[in-house]
Amino acid sequence: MRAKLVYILEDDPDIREIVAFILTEAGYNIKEYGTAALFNEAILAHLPDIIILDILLPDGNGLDICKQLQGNEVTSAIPVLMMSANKTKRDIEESGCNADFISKPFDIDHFRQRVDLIA
Amino acid sequence: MEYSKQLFTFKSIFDGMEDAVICHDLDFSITHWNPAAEILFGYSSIETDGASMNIIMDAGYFGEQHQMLNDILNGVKIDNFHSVRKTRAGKDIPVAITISPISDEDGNIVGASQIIRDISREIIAEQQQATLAAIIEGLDDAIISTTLDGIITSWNKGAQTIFGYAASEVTGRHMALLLPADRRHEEDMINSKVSQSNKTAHFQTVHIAKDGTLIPVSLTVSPVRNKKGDVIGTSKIARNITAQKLADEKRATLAAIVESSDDAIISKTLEGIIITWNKGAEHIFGYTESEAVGRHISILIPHNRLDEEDRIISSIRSGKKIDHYQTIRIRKDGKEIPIALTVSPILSSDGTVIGASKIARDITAAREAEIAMENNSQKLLLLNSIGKSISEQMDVNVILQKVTDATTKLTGAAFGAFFYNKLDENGESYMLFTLSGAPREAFEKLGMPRNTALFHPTFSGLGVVRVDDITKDPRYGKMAPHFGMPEGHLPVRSYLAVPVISASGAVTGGLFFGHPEQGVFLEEHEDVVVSIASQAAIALDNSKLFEEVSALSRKKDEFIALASHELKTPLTSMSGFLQILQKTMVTEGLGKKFLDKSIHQLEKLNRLVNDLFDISKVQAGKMQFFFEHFDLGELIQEVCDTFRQSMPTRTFACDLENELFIYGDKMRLEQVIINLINNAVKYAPDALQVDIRAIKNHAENVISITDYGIGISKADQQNIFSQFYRVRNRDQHVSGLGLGLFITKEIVERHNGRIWVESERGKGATFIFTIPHKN
Repeated sequence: MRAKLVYILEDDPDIREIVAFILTEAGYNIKEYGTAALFNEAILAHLPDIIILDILLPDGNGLDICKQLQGNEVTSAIPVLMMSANKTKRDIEESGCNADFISKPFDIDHFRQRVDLIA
Repeated sequence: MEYSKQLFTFKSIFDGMEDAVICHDLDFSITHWNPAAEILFGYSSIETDGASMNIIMDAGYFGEQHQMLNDILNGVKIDNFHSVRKTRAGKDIPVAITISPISDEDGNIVGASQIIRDISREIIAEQQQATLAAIIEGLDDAIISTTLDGIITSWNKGAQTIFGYAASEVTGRHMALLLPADRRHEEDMINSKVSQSNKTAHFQTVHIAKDGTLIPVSLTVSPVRNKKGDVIGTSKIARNITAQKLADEKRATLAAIVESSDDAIISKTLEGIIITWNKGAEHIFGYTESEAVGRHISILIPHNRLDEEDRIISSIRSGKKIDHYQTIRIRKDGKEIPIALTVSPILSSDGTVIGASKIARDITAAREAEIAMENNSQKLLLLNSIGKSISEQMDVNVILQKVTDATTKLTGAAFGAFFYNKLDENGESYMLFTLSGAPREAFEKLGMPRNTALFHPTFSGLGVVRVDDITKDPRYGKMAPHFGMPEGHLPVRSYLAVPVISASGAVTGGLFFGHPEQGVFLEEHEDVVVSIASQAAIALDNSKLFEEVSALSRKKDEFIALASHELKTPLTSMSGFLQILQKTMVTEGLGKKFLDKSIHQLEKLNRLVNDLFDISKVQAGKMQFFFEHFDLGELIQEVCDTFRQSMPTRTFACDLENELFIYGDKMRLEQVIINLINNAVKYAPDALQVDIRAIKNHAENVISITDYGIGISKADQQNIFSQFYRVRNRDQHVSGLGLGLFITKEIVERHNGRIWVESERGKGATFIFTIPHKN
């Protein structure tokens, strides 16, 4: 069985690295993006199995991106995990975004479980 | 001859006597019968010659006659013996009889002569006298007679009753006895007046009784004449008029009261005809007494109230009084006035209702005062409420509108406006305005008030402008292009403008009032507006301060949100890297121990950042809650399990009732429970047990977390839930910002619950909070 492809959009390179490390260890294929622009470009090129989004980005907002993805027939079925330091699961729900949520900082085991859950 | 001459002389005396003279022998045979006897008894001397004396008396007197004869035979003299004799016609005549013996030449008594005098008149006079005396004695009035010198000669029972002296005490004394010192001269005056004029005279004076009481008397003084007609004294009839005088005085007082009363006092018959009408009635209703008396009471009643009179009269007929009935009556000039009516029945001596007396009070003044008072109290209320409501208000527009509305109402202005200078975010001045009594369009097309001669004093803070007719003010109409009010301006004659000056002394605005009539605004209006303007200035200053503070606070919250986010990014990566180390590379020895400690401290740091973030949300009122139905017991159980796992050396004794269903924010309540258990652990490091209990009573769920640490002093208990407060303890230092319990309390209260602490120094502490079964 092919390893699942995970796109990570996170502007902090260290956090990207941690997420990538955990998920690679867990057997996922990882592609990392630091800006919304790069992420959008990538997703047009190739669809991942899972998307992990940070909310506060230098050139965009994870919630907006999530809504865009879910508003698009092509991407609407891809499960999304949102990460945030300040937002809560409730904020995600209220934004109209159908996504799972994990707050920063996180327990790495917990993080992996959440990804497994939606994968 | 000598003898016969003498006899003749006797006979002529005998015949000439006025009294009847009858001689008879010892057997009562008549021997002589003079002409007076003929007249008195109706028998002629011829008829009676030799007849018996018995013919002139009833048989009942025979014995008496015998006795009288015997008496004189025995030398007893009988003089003026009263008896009764009978005339030939059978009429009884009262008589006085004097009997003398008749002797012969030898001195033997051979008969008797009786002189019989008719005393009918005397008896009548006597009886009259007695009657008079009885009358005099029986009178309640005092009857006193005096000599012309004033010496009392008679004194009846009435005099005794009135003046207290017995007749024996005063007879022979001077009338001055009865006179008060200042009236002594009256006696001579009265006596001389009566004796000179020879007429009966009436006086009212005051006498003094034996006991010193002054007695008002009415005197009737008549001259007393002797037989010749000379006045020899006076008789005085003195009537005690104390009671009458009191009654008179009372009546006079009543009459004076009625006359001088400001109330209308009117009496009328049951048919409604006016009988009496006092000055008050004249004053209130405008009709004079002569105009009103005899007319029907309906002249005072407005047409639409005519049925009132029927009701009043029927009530009066049944003897019922009408008290303070407030109604409207109509004056002669047609003006209607409010009055209060009291109508009472007038009763005759036998108790039947014969009319009504009516007291009407003009309550125009009272009514006006009442209305004025009501107005004043409404003004006060408005003043009071405006002060309160604007001081509580932070929104400038609301303050402006409230002040404009209130002042327009209080001044009676047709329209009012509040112009307020405000600086926008760029520091540029612009003007807000609110209106009352006029639509916004009435002002909008006119533009803002400009710095005309008229508006200048207000906006430069020179003071209040109050003008009875602004169109006649020298400052008016000086500016191009309008030279007065622009076309379409609301019509203004009365004008009032009050500057609104802030605490810094700057004029921040002005209140303007207009009215199309002249002279509407008075000094009192000016005072009220000035006082509200100063309150408004304070409220506006406060509102400005509040805006500034709010802006600062917003900036602070934004900063905290940003800061917590920025802090969390390194926290997240540090935490991630350390966890990776802990789980994959450093799994034993000192390295693992230090790694565990680092991770533990990171968690703590994360909680502090969370608390900071929460507190900024609490203060901004932005802490969001997501309510759902769930079992609080299950949540507590999960939290307990987590604590057991992470702190296996400690005992978390959970005692939870089943089914603690509530409607609440699961995440926030979890935060509360974690916070309280964390505190229990933190503040009782040496006590290994924490008790967690949850029970439900009829209204709410009660959750308690008990530690067995050092406890909390009473003073600390009071402050423990406030922001930044931390319990100080010399023996141990516990880290924290002092925000946890403040946030906890906020969360509990947002669930309509309560939180408190029960503790004794050295015996641990129990934190208890409640959450209602259903919110």
